[in-house]
Amino acid sequence: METKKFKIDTTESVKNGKKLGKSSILSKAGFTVAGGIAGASFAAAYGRKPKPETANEDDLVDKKPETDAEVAQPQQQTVHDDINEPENDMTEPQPVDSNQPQANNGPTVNSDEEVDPELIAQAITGEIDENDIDAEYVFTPDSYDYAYLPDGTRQMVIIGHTPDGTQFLLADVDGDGVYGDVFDLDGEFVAEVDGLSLSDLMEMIDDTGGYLAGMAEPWNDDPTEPLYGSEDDGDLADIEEVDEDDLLAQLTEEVGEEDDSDIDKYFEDETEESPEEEIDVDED
Amino acid sequence: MLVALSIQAQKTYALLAGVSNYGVDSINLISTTKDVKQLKKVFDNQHFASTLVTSQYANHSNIVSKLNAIVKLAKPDDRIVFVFSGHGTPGGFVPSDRSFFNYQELVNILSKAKVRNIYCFIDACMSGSVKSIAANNFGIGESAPNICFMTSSDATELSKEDAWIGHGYFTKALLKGIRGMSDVDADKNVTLNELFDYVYKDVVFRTRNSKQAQHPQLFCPSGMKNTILTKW
Repeated sequence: METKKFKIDTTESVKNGKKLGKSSILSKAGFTVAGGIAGASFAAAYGRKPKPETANEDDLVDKKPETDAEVAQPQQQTVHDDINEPENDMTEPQPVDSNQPQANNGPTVNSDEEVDPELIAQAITGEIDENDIDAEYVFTPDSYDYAYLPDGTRQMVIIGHTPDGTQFLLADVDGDGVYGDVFDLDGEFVAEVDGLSLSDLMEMIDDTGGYLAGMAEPWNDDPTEPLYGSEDDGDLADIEEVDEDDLLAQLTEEVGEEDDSDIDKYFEDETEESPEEEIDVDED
Repeated sequence: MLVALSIQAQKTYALLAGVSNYGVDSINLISTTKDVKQLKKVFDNQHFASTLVTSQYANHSNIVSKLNAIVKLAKPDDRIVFVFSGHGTPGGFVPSDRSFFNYQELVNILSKAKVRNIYCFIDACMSGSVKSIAANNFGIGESAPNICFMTSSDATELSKEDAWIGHGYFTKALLKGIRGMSDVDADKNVTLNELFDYVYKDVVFRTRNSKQAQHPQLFCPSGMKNTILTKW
């Protein structure tokens, strides 16, 4: 059974055969940075290189859980969430009125029945493991500036830093909407990476969780992927032909221990489905 | 003089469960708990009553316990949101105790809630396999007519995360979309339709050059497609 969520294959990340290098490409698409700032090479620290051997997906199929003794036992940390803010009706826009009474956004106690306080506590108490693995961003954007191509074209570049504080620039040399070209602060090309779109960067810069206005996306002009819900979606026809009794039987089947060796049963119904299968939409 | 009125406003209860530390180096993840922590910020902005459990606390029994508590607390006008980010496998996801949380079990728990709408966002490998459990638009009987699933991939695909974007591909798109970038009609309301359209395109674009494509899925009753998820 495959349980690994992902595996970043660095070979996939290399676009168009470009490889990591320290040589300047000023003659091709180098930059003269509008503001002069010194910096160190990014490639040595964060450029693409072979990743250390890690378990691949095949290995994980045979992995067995470690014993409890081998699992780290971190210190417990409990966080209580305070719920004090009123909540707006989500069905219709509500005008802001400071004279409106503030609704209690905490768990509601129905006057007709008692609600177990423990139940409330159980529902609202969050628990955060202090041993969570929250990797730092490889690149943290700090600001933007403008740089000039050899032909004099002015282009926005993103100035940021790596976890060790090294600064570098991120640019969109090929104009595909993805900032995937890394330069040092002297304008020397360092590496090509998967990159970040402007919307990615905006979400990183404003991490408050608040509103973000829409913006042009690199996929705006890419019509290659079909929109979901298309009437031509063969998957919709498949859904309508499914025998309801079979599905009922599936739902009422007792949940049992997952059998690692019986993985094929999950793919029994997948063989004829289109790779582009997406949505289960009720066409009423 | 303020007159205190007892107003039973609609609430949105959200349970966010993320697992990055499975206690085994080779299967630990790097951004899944960041995923749910950042989503919680968004939900807090939206005044959801959100509960976050991560890694060791996102084990099978704790998730079940909190879901059951929320199901009991939620009233007919309320909504429930469930988010999971971590490992996935055909038919279910993997809590921190490395057990198997069957999507059927999840639907069974949630279908007991007498609420308006229930939204589940699953960022895990093969999360689209929920379809085999809760398919047919959830219109089977009356068990689950109001639950939708938005998943990070189809039933056979892996779901990826990346240190450059700092999140799973799906959650990154979700974060951007749910915060307003998917609001194509600029009415400051993000509907499920708008959100999924944005998420789908963003993830597909991000994996366009990859040997392992990723296609988010949406399974929902037709009546939920235009429901408003967030308002700004």
